[in-house]
Amino acid sequence: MAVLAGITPVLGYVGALVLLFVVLPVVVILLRGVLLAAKSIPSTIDAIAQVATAGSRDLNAVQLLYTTQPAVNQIIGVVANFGGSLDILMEDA
Amino acid sequence: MLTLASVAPAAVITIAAVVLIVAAIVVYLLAIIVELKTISNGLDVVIPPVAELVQKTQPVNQLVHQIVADLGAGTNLLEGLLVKKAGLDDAAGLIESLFPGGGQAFLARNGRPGRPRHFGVVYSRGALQLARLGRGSPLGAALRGSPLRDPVAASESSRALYPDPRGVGPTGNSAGAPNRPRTPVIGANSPNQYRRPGDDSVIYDSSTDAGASPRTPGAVEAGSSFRTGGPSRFPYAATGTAPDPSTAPPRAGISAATAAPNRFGGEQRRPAPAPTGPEPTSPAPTPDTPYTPDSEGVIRYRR
Repeated sequence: MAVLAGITPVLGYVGALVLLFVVLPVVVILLRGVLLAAKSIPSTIDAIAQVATAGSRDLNAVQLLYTTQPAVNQIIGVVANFGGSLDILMEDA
Repeated sequence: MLTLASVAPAAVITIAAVVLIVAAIVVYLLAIIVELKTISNGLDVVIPPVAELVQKTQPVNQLVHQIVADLGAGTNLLEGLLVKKAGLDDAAGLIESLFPGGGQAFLARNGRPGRPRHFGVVYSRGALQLARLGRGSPLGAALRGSPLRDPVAASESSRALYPDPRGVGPTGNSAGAPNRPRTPVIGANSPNQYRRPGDDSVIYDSSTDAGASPRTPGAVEAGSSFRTGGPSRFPYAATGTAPDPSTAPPRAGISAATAAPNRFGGEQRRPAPAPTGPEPTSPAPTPDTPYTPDSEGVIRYRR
């Protein structure tokens, strides 16, 4: 019992020192890493916003596809008429 | 009473460490909360353009597929026409000469394995001319030299290829001549034998002519005017002799209006040789060639 009574204060000192010099730095390092990662996200989001805005502006030409499709239809019709005329004008092989 | 002196030194260190840890957690978590709030605001800005992207790209797939289907139909149409006109082998060779690798794919689409025939000699000239005609196309853009077809003076270039027997052009050719329709091919050698609208002429048939004398099949009859049925106005046709060369038109070609020498070397244009096929049943008589009855001994012509 006398020995145990002599060890207890020493264990208290060791535990306190470990808490101060090990646990506290680890907690600080981990939280600092999370904070740095969180701070890097807004800049990325700003870049995404700029790209999305530019991409949306570029896709304004997609509306032209609505007129391109009928134009292609008309061209195919002209080609068909032209081919039919060639079929009549030219002899077969 | 509890005083600092009464507390063990180890407990004081522990309490201080815990306080520092809690303080660090609070500080960093507050900073992280601020950053997350900033991220949320940034995402609020990003999401509308992304949604707009999705909305704008939504019809692209369907429209592009429709366009591809239409272009595919056009490609099939032209390929079918090419196969019909040139045959499968020649069509594949021509496609291969224009688009390397396309001929083999064309054969594969038509269910024939193998490589197309090489037409570098046969079709290179034609392909080159086609490509130069289409100078504005990607195929002809890489070619050098002047284009064969002048988009402004295309008509002049093509008309210069033909003679101008009427001499109406200022330089003796058709380039500067007024725009007149070319004389159609008429007569017995005309490819189109048809009657004009309102033509009430009748086909003369000697078998129904009571005044016609009996004809011998295959016998050469004396010439007569096919227009009037009377004697021919050409004496040599009535006498059966050859025409007098002295009465023939000059051999050297000159322009009738300008009397300028023919720039084509005085070569008289000769009619195309008569087809070698079976003789038509209704040969059109000409003033200088006597007509002959057909196998039934009947003379038929239009008058």
